[in-house]
Amino acid sequence: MKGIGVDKKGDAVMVTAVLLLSVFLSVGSNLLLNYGEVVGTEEEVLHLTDVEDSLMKIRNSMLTQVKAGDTYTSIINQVTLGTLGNPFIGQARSSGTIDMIPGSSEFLFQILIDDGGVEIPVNSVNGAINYYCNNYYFNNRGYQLEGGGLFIQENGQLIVNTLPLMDISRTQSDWSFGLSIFGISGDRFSISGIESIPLSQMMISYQESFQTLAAGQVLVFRINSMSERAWATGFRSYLNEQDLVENSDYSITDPMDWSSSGDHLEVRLTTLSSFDLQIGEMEVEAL
Amino acid sequence: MRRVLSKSDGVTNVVSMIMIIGIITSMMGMVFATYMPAWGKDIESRTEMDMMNSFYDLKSNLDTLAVGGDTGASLTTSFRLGSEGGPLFGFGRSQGSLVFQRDKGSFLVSDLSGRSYGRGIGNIHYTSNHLYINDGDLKMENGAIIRREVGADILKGPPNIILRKDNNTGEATLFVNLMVLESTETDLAGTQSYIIRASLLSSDISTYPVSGGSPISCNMTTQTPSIWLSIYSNITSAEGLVEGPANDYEIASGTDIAGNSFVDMTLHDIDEIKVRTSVFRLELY
Repeated sequence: MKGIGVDKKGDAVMVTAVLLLSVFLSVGSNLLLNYGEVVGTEEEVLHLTDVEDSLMKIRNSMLTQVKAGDTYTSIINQVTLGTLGNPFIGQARSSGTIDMIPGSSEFLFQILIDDGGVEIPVNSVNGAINYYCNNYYFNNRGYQLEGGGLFIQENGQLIVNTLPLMDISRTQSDWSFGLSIFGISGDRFSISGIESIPLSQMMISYQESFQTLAAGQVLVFRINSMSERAWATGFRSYLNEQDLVENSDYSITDPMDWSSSGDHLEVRLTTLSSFDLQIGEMEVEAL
Repeated sequence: MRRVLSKSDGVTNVVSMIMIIGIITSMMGMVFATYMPAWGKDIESRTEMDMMNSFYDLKSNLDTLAVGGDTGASLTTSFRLGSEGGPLFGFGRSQGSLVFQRDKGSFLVSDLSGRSYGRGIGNIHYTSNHLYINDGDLKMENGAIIRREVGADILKGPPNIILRKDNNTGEATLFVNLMVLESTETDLAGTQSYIIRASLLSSDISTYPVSGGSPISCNMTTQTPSIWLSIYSNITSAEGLVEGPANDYEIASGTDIAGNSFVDMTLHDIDEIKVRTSVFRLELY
């Protein structure tokens, strides 16, 4: 026993072993935490791609129902709100919120004919589905699905992902415009979390109209939305691509105040000869 | 011997190593007993969630193709049958099985004289084998997504069968979307991912006026009769129909000659039937 009490080699071995264990544990935990951040960033980026794909799928299936005039098929699409994270490697989860807002408070798209100063209402759609994420590692992003267009909001910037289905057909002397668009209705809901939410959609009403414009008549779109800038950019880009000239074939009037709900974006198709509209009202509910 | 027995150098080394080995063993035991099973459950749950999303995607694709009516158009869905598990030790590794059955899940719309208005057939059935969580069981038949867990069936996605009564005229119209899934009988198992391409071969909508209040039967042959009983109940209760032979509808269930379970909904006083029969080819990649 006396030998053990004065064994200095043994003391050194014990201290060395404890130090080695501590180094091992700290290196391991540091590695896990950094790995968790890398994996978390990647998962959040992939998740945003999934959300965009899901909203595009919703948009495409809604437009398919509008084009077919189908009012007796319900289509279910799912949106995953967030990422699960992984506490075992120190990866935080990110959540998201999906809002379905019917009515014109969030989005209103009016279609009318300006007949020499007299406005003739043709139709209108309203309602939107919005998604906002609450990321831990990557930038936060918002998506707005309204009227058949999908818009992205990130770092205060608005980007057009896609506009409603539009087509322009020309003859030698004039051109006509086709538009397929939908409104969103139903009981308002707002769901937050990380899980997948199945959304059921059914077209509850449908209208199709074809109209030839008389001389002096102009087709006008009035848009009231948080994404007005993106609508303006999208329309300008699309019409220019179709070789239409701004302030000649069409004009776009920006609102005085982009953020004011009382002010709207106006698109006028001044040299248009006829138009064809397909408008559906989609009832959306979360299952 | 005496010198060896009395030599005290090295005793501390041995004691230290034994203590260190003991610490490491107990830490590993804690990791294996608690940490890994929890992570394994997490991995298996994600696999089930991904498969649920895949079934929703497939149903959405089939319904969208049917509505679009564009023959030859196709949409793809990815399915991951299982999971390779976590790092190093493969905890949470689970296998799944996906089966296409062309002759199961028959849905027949007919009248009592035997006239058939349309028939849907074919189902897709997924089962999984988990270690930490309950085994999964998902099925899609005629547009209905049914999940079975711990012996209970849950309807996760309803089929497209709609009964509408015009409030003004009182006329009742039955809308039925029938799906015919054509594919080679396939039985896949493992942990890999597959792509299923669904192509629309044909989609026809037919409208049939029903004269004299002739009863119309919707007969589903299924292994989950309880779900179809609740589907039919939901359809009829949504329009405030009353059950009974002398009333608006009857629902019956039983076993046919071949021993298959069926659920039948017979509707009285239907004025019109709209049937869309869509034929899909499912291919695996």
